[in-house]
Amino acid sequence: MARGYDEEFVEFATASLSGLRRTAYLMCGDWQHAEDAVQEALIRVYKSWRRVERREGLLAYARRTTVRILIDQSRRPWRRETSADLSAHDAALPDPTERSVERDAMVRALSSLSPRRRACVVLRYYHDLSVAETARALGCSEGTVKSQTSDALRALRPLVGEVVDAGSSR
Amino acid sequence: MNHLHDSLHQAADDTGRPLTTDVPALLGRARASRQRSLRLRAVGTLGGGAALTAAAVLVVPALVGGSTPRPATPAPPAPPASSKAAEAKTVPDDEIVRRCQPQLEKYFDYPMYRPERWRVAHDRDYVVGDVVQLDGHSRMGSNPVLCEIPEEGREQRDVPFSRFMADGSDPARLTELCSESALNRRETFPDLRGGQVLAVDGDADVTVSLIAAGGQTFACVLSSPTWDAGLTDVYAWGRGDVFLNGSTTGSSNKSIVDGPASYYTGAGLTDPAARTIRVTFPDGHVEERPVRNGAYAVMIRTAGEGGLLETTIEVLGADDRVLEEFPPR
Repeated sequence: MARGYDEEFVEFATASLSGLRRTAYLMCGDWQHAEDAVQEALIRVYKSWRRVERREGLLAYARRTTVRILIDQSRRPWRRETSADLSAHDAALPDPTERSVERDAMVRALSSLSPRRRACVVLRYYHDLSVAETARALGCSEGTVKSQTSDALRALRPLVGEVVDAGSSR
Repeated sequence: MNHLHDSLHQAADDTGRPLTTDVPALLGRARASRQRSLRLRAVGTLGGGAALTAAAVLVVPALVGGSTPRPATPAPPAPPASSKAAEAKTVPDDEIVRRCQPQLEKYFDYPMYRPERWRVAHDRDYVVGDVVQLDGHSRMGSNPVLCEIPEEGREQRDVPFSRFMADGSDPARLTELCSESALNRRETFPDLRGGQVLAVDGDADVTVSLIAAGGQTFACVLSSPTWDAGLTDVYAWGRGDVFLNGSTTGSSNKSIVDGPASYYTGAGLTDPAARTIRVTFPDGHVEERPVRNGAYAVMIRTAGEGGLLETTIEVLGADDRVLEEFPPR
């Protein structure tokens, strides 16, 4: 492996970790789990560095891989499941401000969605990706993205209605 | 203003949440992962099987201490050594799933498995003869299954479940099975194939090992794929408190391993000066396992329906001096 290749990876990983972890956190509601998923995604980026560099942006690939890893991980096997109890997550760091209450409400609301619907919301409304870009990221059709997003917003409305009503008109 | 967009950004606010990733260490893991891929691709030019025999450096005897091993079921012969040589190139994922289908049929006699639209669970390169974990597409469907990738045209060859058990006498197979038994959500682990087995304990039914790979250590508990005892697990575990996980089995399960018993398992690193781990049960029964270079692995089986018991664990030095005790006095 050329030295420059490794240096490029370290530079890329250092620069992208925070952003990718935020995306992953919205997907899973757990900061440590989010960071684990990002690490795995970055390892996959490394393994495919030159190919990814040629074919698509490294950051887009890393984000797509992170989201897909978390979708995959959510398919838990029977009986061997370890539940991610969002009601307990980050309990060690209470932050009872109004802002944190809103923040937690959004994370809890997201956790009520299926992983693919959650991914649609995160990619469409957090990353502002188009329907086509979201479809490419998730490896599905644009129609699926539209229907999954619509279903997700409908499911979110009772939980964070004001936010959805004000923010989803596009 | 896009309120949803803003709310999502607010929800993802990581103020006060410092990153814990050590990027240089991550680079090391990435390189190790890539080297594994390259090594497998090179098998075609080196000759079959050679890559897998170079795995472990330190092999600890499989049966240690006072555990009472059950009669070992002799493992069936490995597939012909020529199988990897015959097709020592990476098998594409969809081809792996196709070739594995006949092997999966026998799983469906057991309640935790059901037919699925299978896919390869881990993003790794596989060649003929490798063990691969297949995962189902449905959300709450079957447990994952293991398959030994057959040669083209030999898909109907029977691969018994006992092929998916290993002990310390075959460290390459042990690390391969541990690597494939890790669940998807633990994909952040490095590929353990080719890792170093630091400690191992167990018998023909349950093997506990400590494996070093990618700068970390991992505890691996292997039990038969068809054994519904919830023992199989692979998790990162290094230096820290010594504790044992527990599980019990009854005779009612349709399983190749039956009979009521309790199992205590654990592996990790402890004080480098330690020589022995002593486990004491409430009735005074004592089990001991060796510690070498701080590495230990423990598998204790207690027969009967008594359920799991509180144990006291002592880490002993060379002169049997107690270095640590769990739970602490």
